[in-house]
Amino acid sequence: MKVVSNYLKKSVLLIFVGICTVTCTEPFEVELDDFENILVIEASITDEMKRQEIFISRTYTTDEEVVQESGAIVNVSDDVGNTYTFQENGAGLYVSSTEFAALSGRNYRLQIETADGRSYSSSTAALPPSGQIDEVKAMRTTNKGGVDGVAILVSGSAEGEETAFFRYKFEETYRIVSFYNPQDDLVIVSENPPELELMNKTREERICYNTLFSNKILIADSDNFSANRVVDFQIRFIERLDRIVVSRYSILAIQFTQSEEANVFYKTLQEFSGNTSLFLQTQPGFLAGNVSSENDEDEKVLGLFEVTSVSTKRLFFSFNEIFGIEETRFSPECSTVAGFGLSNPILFDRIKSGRWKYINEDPPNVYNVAQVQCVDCNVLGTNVVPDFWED
Amino acid sequence: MNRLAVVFTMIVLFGYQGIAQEKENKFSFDFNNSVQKSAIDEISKVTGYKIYYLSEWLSNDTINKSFNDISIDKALDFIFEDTNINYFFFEGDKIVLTKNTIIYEELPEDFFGKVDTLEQVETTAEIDPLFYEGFKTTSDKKIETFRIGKTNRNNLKKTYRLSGIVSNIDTKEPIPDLTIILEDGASGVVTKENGYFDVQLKSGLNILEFRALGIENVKKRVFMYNDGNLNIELAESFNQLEEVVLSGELNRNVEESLTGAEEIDVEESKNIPLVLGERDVLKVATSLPGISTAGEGSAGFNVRGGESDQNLILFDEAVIYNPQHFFGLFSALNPFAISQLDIFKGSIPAEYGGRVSSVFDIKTKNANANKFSGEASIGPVTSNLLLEVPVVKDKSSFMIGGRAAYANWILRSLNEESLNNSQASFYDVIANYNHKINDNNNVKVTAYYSKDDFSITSDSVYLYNNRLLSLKWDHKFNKKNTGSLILSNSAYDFNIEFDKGSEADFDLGYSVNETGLKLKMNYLHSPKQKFNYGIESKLYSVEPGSIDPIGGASIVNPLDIPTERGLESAAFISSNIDITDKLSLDAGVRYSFFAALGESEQRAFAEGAPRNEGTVIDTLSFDKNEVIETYGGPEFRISARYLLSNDFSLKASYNNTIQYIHRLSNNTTVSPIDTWKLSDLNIEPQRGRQYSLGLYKNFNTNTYEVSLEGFYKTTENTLDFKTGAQLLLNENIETEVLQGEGKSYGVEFLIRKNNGRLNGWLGYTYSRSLLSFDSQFSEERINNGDFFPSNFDKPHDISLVANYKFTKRFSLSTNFVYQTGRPVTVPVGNFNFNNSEFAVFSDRNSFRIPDFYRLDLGFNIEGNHKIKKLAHSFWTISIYNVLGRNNPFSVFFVTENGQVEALKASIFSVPVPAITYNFKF
Repeated sequence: MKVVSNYLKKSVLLIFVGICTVTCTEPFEVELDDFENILVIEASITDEMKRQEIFISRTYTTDEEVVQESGAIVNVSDDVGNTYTFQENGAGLYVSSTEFAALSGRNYRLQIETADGRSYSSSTAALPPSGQIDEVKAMRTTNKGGVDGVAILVSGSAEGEETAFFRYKFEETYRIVSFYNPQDDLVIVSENPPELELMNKTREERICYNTLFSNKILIADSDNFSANRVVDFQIRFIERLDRIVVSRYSILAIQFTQSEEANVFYKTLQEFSGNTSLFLQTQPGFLAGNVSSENDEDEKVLGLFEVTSVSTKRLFFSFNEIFGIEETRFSPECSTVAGFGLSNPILFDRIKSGRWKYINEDPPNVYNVAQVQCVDCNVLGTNVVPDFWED
Repeated sequence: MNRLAVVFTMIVLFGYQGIAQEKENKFSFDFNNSVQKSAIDEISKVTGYKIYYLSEWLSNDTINKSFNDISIDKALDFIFEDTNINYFFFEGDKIVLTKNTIIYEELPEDFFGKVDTLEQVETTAEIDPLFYEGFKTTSDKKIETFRIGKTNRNNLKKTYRLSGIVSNIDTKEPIPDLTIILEDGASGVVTKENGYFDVQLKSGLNILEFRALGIENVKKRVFMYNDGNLNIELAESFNQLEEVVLSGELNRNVEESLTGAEEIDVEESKNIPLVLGERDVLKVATSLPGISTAGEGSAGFNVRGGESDQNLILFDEAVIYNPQHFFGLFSALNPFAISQLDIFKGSIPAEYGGRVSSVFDIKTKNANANKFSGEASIGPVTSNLLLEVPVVKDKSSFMIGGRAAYANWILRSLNEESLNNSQASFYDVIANYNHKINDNNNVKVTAYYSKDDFSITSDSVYLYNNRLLSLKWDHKFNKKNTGSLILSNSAYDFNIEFDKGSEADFDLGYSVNETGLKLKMNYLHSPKQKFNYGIESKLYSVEPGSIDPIGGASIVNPLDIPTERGLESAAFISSNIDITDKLSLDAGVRYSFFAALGESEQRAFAEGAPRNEGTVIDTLSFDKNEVIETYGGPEFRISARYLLSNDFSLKASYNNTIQYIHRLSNNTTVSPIDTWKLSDLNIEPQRGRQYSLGLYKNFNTNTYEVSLEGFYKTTENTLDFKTGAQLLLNENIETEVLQGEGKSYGVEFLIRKNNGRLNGWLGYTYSRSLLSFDSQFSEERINNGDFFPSNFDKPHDISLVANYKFTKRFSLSTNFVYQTGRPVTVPVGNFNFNNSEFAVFSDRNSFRIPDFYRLDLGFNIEGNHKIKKLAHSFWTISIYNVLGRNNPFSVFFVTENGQVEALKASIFSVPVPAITYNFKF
C-alpha cells in the first residue's frame, strides 16, 4: 500500500514546487566523514536455464567510483544437496560455472567467502509461484506534468492464490535515422600535406539502433487486487518529443515474480531514493536485506539474495502508430552546415576532429559538412540490426 | 504630596458640606411618560445640577408621577428604585450616576476616636469605551478608596498606623492568615486568628492588596492622613485558582504551585506576525520555551523533547487529534472562538491523563449574552466569520464561526500547467451554546468540525477531518462544593480516493473515535486547602484501515482491518494545600487503567526471538468485549512551591504519566495520514516521568516576569519502526514496531514584559531529546542500541516576541526565532544496485541541517476608537521571513538517472508579505 503514500508525497511536492519563489528544492553539498565500508550483494537466481549471475561490490564514498569485490568464493546450494559454484568473470561479477535454473519447491542459500576470509550467508529463499506477462501495451497519455507522450503499461499475473509481488526491468531499443544520408564520405588520405578525398561509404551510417537498460526500481504487487495480478502498471513514460520515439521503438519488458521479503527490500530502497516531498520524508535507515555475516553478527551487510520467476514480452511501435503522422516530433539540430573548398584547411581540421562529416557538394566544388550525429548514426548507436528487430 | 493631599481633603470636606445644604432644597418635578433619561434631563433643567452618566445604563421604562416640594435625592431615589444605579453629589452643582456601587456617606463617628473613615469615593476602573461591550467583566472591577483620619497639622508623620479586622462579607466571620501586601510588593502583613491586622503605612496614598486562598483577591486604595482603623469585608472567591488564571493576575507565575504552566493570551497574540497573516495561537505557543515543532510548517508539537503524539490537546474538554490544516501550516482552530489556551508542560494536574508529555487545554469563549456581535477577517488564504448571538438575555447565548480557505486561486494563478488540476482547500466550523440555568447550574455544548482536502491530479483526492462534540454541565452544590460533568466525543478520519476510471481505483479509509465521560469535583475545604477529584472513562474505537473498490471496473479487493477497541478509565484526586504562608503543595494521584477489548485476533510470538513472521507461535481469538490485555498504574502528580519572598519563588515537581494510544508514523515528521493505534497484547503503553525545578521572580510590580526552569524526563515504550516499515493497511503492525526509551532534559529561561508600550517575551531553551532502541536482536536495534538525538532535538532555541505600541492605534510586532538545525539521517556512502547508484544510510540522525533562524515583522493598525462606530477594524500587514533566510526543512538523497543527488528543501525561502483585515461589530 506504500504506493499510496508515495503518491501522496509526490503530490505534496508538486504543490510547493508550484509556489517555488517561496519554496525551493536545491542541490547541496554535504560533507560526510562517517564513511562505512559495507559489503553489497545483488544476487538474483532465476528459473531460466542459464549461467546465473551475482554481483558483489562495496560501498564507496561520493567522490569515488564503485568498488567491486574481487576474489570471493561464491556458491549457491539447495536443500537437496546441489551446490553451484560461481566464478569471477569481470570485476564484481560472478557467474555460475554451469547453467542451472531455480526449481520450485527447493530452498536455496547463498554463501560467500570474501578475499579477506570473512564468511557471509543468506537466509534461504525459494522460487515464488511462476508468473507471466499477460500484456505489454503502449498508450498515448500525458504525464503528471501534463506533457504529451506514450506510456508503456504492463499487466502480469502469477499462479496461486497468494499475493504476488512483481519487479520489472526493461530493455528499450530504438531506431535512429540519420538526418543526412550522403552516399560518400570525405576521408583523410594524407595528413601532411593535408589531403581529403571523397570516397564511397563503407558502412551503414543511416540506420542504427541503440539499446538502453532501465535503472529505476519498478515494483508492483497484487496486494489489494481481487485477482492475483497487476494491471496496466506503467514501467516507462516517454515524452512525444523524445528522440527515442521519433522513428521506431521496441521495449522488452522483463517481469520478475519475487518474494515479499525481496519486494519490501526494493520498496524501501525506492522510498529512500525516490521522489522528495517537503512535508513527508520516510525515515531512512540501514537496509539490511537477507545476507548476514557469519563471523560478526553486528557487521552490516547490504545484500539481497532472491530466487525469481522470469517472464518477458516485447513490444514494437512506430511514432505514427501512437501519435499519428501530423504530430510534431523530435527534430535534431542539424541546420548548422558549412561549405568549404576541398583544400581549405578549416575543412581538413573539421574532418580531422571527427565532429563533422561530409553531406554533399553543392554548388560544385563547395563541400558541405554537418555535425557528425546528423550524418552518422553510429555515434548514437550501432548499425548492427538487433536479431529481434521487426520493422 | 502631603500638602496636596491636605488641600484635596479640605475641598472634599467643604464640598460635602455645601452639598449637604443644597440638596435639602425643595423642587417640583412632573414626570409624564418620561423614560429615565428624560426624567434626569428634567431634574437637571429644574435644579440647574449637571448630571453625569452613561446612557446605556438607563432603562426605557416610563415614569408617571408628579412631585411637589421634594429634595433632589428623594426624586432620584424614586427614579432609580429597583435599579442598580446610585448617585453622588459633588462640587456643589454636579451629580454623577454610578452603576452597581454603593455610596457611603458617613460623617466621622468620633472626631477624636479611632474610626476616621470620612467617605469612600467610588472610582470605576478606567474603561476604554470602545471595548466596553467586549470586556464587560472589567466594568465590575473597582478599586475602592478609603481615607483614613484627619490631618493633624501638629502631628505630621511619615507613616501612620492602620489597624482593623478583615471579615467574610457573607458569614461575617473573621478571615485569618490573609495577606495584605503593600504596593512595593515586598512587604506586607498577615491577619491574625481573629482577622485583626496592624500595619504601618506611609502618609498619603497606599495601595493594599488583600490575598487569601478562597477569598476574592482585591486591592484597596487607602489615603493615610492619620492613624486609623479600617474594617474590611471581603467576598469568597468561588474558585480562586481559576479566577486568577482568567484574569492573568499579577503574581500567578510566582505563586501557583505548578511548574511548566503556560498561558497564551489569545487577544494579545493577534499582533504576532505569522505566515500569510493567519492568526494561530498554537504557533504562538511554539514561541515559548519547551514547545517546538520538528520544522517550519510541520504538524504536531514536541513538548520538552516528547514525541508529537504525546500531547493531550483538548478543545472544550474533547480531544482534538489533528488541530492543524494543510500539513501543519495553518491552525485548524478558529482564533476568534478561543478564549484561553493553557499549556501544562511540566506538572500536569491529576485530572488530565492519557498522554505522556503535555496538555494543551483550549477553551472556547462564551458568546456575548447581551448583544448580537461578531468578528470577521479577510486574509490572503482564509476568511473567517464568527457570530455571537444572545438567546436569552444574560442567560444563554450561541456562537458560531466558520473559516474557509481559498488556496485554489493561488495554485491556479501560478500559471503552471502541471497544477491545473490541483486543488487544496480546508474549512472549519465551530459552534457552541452556553446556558446559565441559574447561579448554580451552567450548561455548555460545543461542536466542531474541520476538513481538509487536496488533490493534485484529477484522479486522486486526500481528505481528512476532525469532528468533536462536548457537553459540559457545571453545578454548584454549595459554597464549598462544585462539580462538572463532561460528555465528549471526538473523531479523526482520513480517506484517500483514487479514481481514474481504471481497475486500480480505490477508496482507502481510516478513523479513530473516542467517547468519554468525566466527572470532576472541587471541594474547598478551607481557604488553605482545596481538593479536586473525579473519575473519567473513555471508549476508543479505531478502524485501522479499509480499502474498497470504486466504480464497476475496479478489481480492487475490499479489505477491512478489524476494529480495535479499548476502554481507558481513571480516578483522580488532588489537593492544593498551603502548608505555611510560604510553602504550598499540590499533590495528586491518578490511577489509570486500560483494557484492550475484543473482538480481535492477536498473535503471540516466541519468547527470546525477534518478533517477525517467523516467530509467531499462536494466534489468539478474543470475542466481542472480551478483555485482551490490561495495563494500568498510578500516576503521581506532585508539585510544591516555596515563596522566597512575595514575588520570588522556588518550585519543584514530579510527574508520571501513562499513554495507551500511539501515533504510527515512519516519516521524519507528522503527516495527516498517520494512524493512531491502541495498546494491545503486543504493544505496551508509553510511560513517562518528569522532574522539574524552577525559580520564578517578578520585578517592578510584576511588569517583568522571569523564570528559569529545568527538567529531566524519561519515557518508556516510545514507538519507532523497523527500517522501511509498511504501516498503512498492515494487519500485523507489531512485527514492525520497536519500543524503546526516551530521555530528555533541558533548561528554559523566559523573561516576559507584560505591559507598557513595549511588551513581549524572550525565551531561551537549552534542551536535548534522545532516544534509544536496544534489543538483543540486531533487527530490533537502531544505532546499535545507543542513545541518539530525536528528529526534533534542537539544543539551542531562542524566541523573541515583541510588540511596540506607538499609539493606541499603531503598533509594530516582531517575532524572531533561532534554533539549532534538526538532526537528519545522511548516507555513509553509496552503493550500486539494480543498475543504478543509491545512498546507504546507517546511523540515525548523525548529521544536522543548518541552523534555523527567521525574523517576522508585523505592523498593526487598529481602527479609530470612536464609540459610536459601527465596527471596530484591525489591519495587520506582515512580512514573514523578512531576512529571506533559506532555512532547509529537510534533506534528501535521491537517485536520479542512476546517480545519487543530495537535495535540500525549504518551505518559505523568501519574505512572504500578507495583509489581513479584521473587524468586530
